[in-house]
Amino acid sequence: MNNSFIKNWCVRLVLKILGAVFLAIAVYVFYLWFTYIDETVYSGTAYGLTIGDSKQDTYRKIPSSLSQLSNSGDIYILIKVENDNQIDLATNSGHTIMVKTLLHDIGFQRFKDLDTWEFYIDASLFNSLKLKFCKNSLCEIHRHRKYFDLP
Amino acid sequence: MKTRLLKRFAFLALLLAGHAQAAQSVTFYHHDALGSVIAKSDADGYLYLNEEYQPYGEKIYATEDFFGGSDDWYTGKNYSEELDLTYFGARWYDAKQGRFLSVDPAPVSLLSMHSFNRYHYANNNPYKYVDPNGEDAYLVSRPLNIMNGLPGNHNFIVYNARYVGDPGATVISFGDIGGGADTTGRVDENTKGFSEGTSTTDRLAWESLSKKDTKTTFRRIGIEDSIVGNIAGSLLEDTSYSIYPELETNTTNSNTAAGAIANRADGGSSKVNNGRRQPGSSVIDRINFRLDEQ
Repeated sequence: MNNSFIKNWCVRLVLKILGAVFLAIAVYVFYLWFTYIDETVYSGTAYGLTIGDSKQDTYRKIPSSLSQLSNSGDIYILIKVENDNQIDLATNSGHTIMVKTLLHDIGFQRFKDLDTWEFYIDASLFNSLKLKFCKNSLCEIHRHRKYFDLP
Repeated sequence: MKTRLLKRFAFLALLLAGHAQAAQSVTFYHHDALGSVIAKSDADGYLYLNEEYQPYGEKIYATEDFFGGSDDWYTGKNYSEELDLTYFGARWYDAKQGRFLSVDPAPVSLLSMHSFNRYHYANNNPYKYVDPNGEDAYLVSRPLNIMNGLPGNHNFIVYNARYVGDPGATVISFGDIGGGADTTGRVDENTKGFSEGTSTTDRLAWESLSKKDTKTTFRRIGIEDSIVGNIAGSLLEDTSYSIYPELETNTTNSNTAAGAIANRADGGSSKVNNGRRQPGSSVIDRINFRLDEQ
């Protein structure tokens, strides 16, 4: 085995490693691009929800709608901690936390007064479904998902 | 008929009397450069209060206020006669000593020598600075939400903070605001696209500092916090966005913007000393401010 053979073998090995790294980065970038969703719907039906639906109808449809977007089916919302629940949540009032919701009927009391509803899938702020209501009718469905965070 | 007319005239007379009464009660407040009320006058230009203050706020001259005392005092803050102290929102201040009575709720920053004095007022420079609320500003750095934050950190600005992690503080986030080409700009909870979710993530990262175990780090910006707010508000959104601006000419990102604001405010570092990569924070000279155009 001479020196030039070892040298060539080393060069080929380094090139293979660099190629593998480059390929891994390219595949990862493609995966990020392929899984990225940023879509806003103003008419028709999307994600099991229909533009023009009332708040009550929309609230009723949300569990099945969001279960299509997540394997776990877990839905999260952001809430501001108040004085009367800060002990139960072990968080001082005023702070914002993400909590899992079961979207029971009782929760509609909270949502009916809001014109923007935001739901987070798999407890990620980068995987969301946001609904906007105009005059108590659903007028905008915004779906966002990304598996990256920009500096 | 005459009775109705009389009633209308009476009503008109009452309205005019009310208007005249309102006009008499108009008071003009006159402030000095630091915001202290130094004079009051009425609509006729009659001066009925005249005050002057020592640099640290002790009253050295005051005429009698015939129309009742004023709570507005040094730099426009509320003064308690009973306590002989001024309230700055987060702490009580003794103008005779030129010191706050309690420790600054913000922690010491190694990059700001003034922060080592836990009781001082306005960086011990009351001619130049005011401390309108006893609150602070920070450059905050959190790991990116990707591969466990492996590639680096994302930085943002916080001001109006009474303490570290204060949920009532103002959080200013930057990112890619799109607009045809990718552009660096301010993002909020309504932002859509690549930087959607960034401002909420930043807010939760800031609030996480109120507990002990967090990966979010910060440096205190050693200047009055409203100045930081003004600088942030004057940032021009006129540069292209890049994930790694150091590798592309004339590009910036959120770390560049936040670092430029912090550096301009107190002349300190444009990054947080946490040992983590903060891409963009070394090219802060690419950020332009409206303040420079004036």
